[in-house]
Amino acid sequence: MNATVPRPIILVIEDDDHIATVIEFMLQREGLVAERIADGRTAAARIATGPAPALVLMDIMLPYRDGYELVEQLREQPGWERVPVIMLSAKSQEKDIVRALDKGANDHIVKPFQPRELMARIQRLLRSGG
Amino acid sequence: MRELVAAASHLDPTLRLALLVGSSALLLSLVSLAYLFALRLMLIRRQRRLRAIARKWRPQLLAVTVGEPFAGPRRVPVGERQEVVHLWNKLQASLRGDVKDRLNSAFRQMSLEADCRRWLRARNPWRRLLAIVALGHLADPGDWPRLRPLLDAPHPYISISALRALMRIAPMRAASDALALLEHRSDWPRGTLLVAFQEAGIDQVTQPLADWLASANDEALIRGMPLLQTGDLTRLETPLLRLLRRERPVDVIAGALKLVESPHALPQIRGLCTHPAWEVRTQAAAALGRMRQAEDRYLLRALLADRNWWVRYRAAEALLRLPDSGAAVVYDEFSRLDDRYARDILRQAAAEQGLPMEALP
Repeated sequence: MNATVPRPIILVIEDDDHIATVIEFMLQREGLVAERIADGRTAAARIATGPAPALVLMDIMLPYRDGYELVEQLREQPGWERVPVIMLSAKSQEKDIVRALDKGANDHIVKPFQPRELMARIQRLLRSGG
Repeated sequence: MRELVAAASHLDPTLRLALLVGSSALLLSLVSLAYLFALRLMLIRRQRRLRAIARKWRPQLLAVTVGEPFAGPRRVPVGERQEVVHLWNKLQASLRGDVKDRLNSAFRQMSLEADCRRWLRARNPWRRLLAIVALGHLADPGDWPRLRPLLDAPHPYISISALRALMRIAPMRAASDALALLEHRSDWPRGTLLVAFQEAGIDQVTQPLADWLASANDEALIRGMPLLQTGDLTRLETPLLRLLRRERPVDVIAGALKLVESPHALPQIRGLCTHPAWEVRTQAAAALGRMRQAEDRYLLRALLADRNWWVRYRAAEALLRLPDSGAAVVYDEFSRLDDRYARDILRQAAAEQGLPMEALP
């Protein structure tokens, strides 16, 4: 990748350290930068005060504040309205994903996930810009 | 010191005893403190060692997940094997698709299967669990005879982990064996059992569930009823209908009512609306709501006045799910009700469904 072009930052909000590490590794291999956050409270503060990333990858079940609240918050945050959001959910939460899409998420991935599928969805949303 | 001992010998016996107890307590506290400090040091060293192992092996395993060939050392040092298997198990649990085959290939290149097979007999339960889970991911049919005896293990986590591993090797056979043991395994975590059946897939578990339904006793049925939702309910219809009899235990009838979808069950469901147990009447009302037959309006209207709140609530929900249950029909229903509780519950259910309730008296 050209050194003068900044690499897109992907905000990974996931409390499972192992899954976050796997995702971070995959993003790095694709030339993307992962910014990791492990709980809903820190994520809420990051959304309120930090610059918008290129994409948000977020678990639904998080400590302190869940993914639904965070999607709602980030859609109301100036500059974040059009940031693509992919929700990560466990198989048992599949029915809840409709709620996340209603709140403003763009896509969802079920855990356990297929690495190629995850990267394809991220690239598609990055190309379309949300 | 000698002077101190001499001085103590002149002390009152009670004071001497107090001095002795105090010194002993102090000594014990110091020993405990030293012990805790040593434990803490050991924990820190262990965590440091595990982090170093993870730093060394995780990138090698992660590279495999993005399609690169396994480039790690072919021989894992003995002291690192347990943690490598742990890391590999976690990766297997996080991912699905063809990446799992690549991870299996890497595992075999590291020749860790032999260790796992040996660990199945380990005294350390953590090591046994790691081995069971790993062999399940590898899904080698040759490991069935090694894992099958562990399904009967007294420890519930060993046994349920063995079930999940066996489900990956031969799902139909494993499901049949698990269902046969269900009567005696009240210690199996229900959620894990359900996940094991879900992971195996509907095609694999339906036949074992149908066979089990036809022969299981009531105790096993009560325990295994939630598993039926993992099977193809259209193929389980006939044995399920046989459970909708008044003489069966309440939990069995109520469990079967939660699952029935076929209109063939309607005569039995209607008959169960007058069952003495409120759990059965509740599920009968809910089942009628799923069936959406207009002629059940009268039956559901009668249940609106049931003495149990849940029966009334499910009957009201069911009534609103019937065809042509718009606001006008609800007002008409409402005007026919004399019972105060029936009117209250219909008002609540209609409000929950967003029907305009202002016009109701």
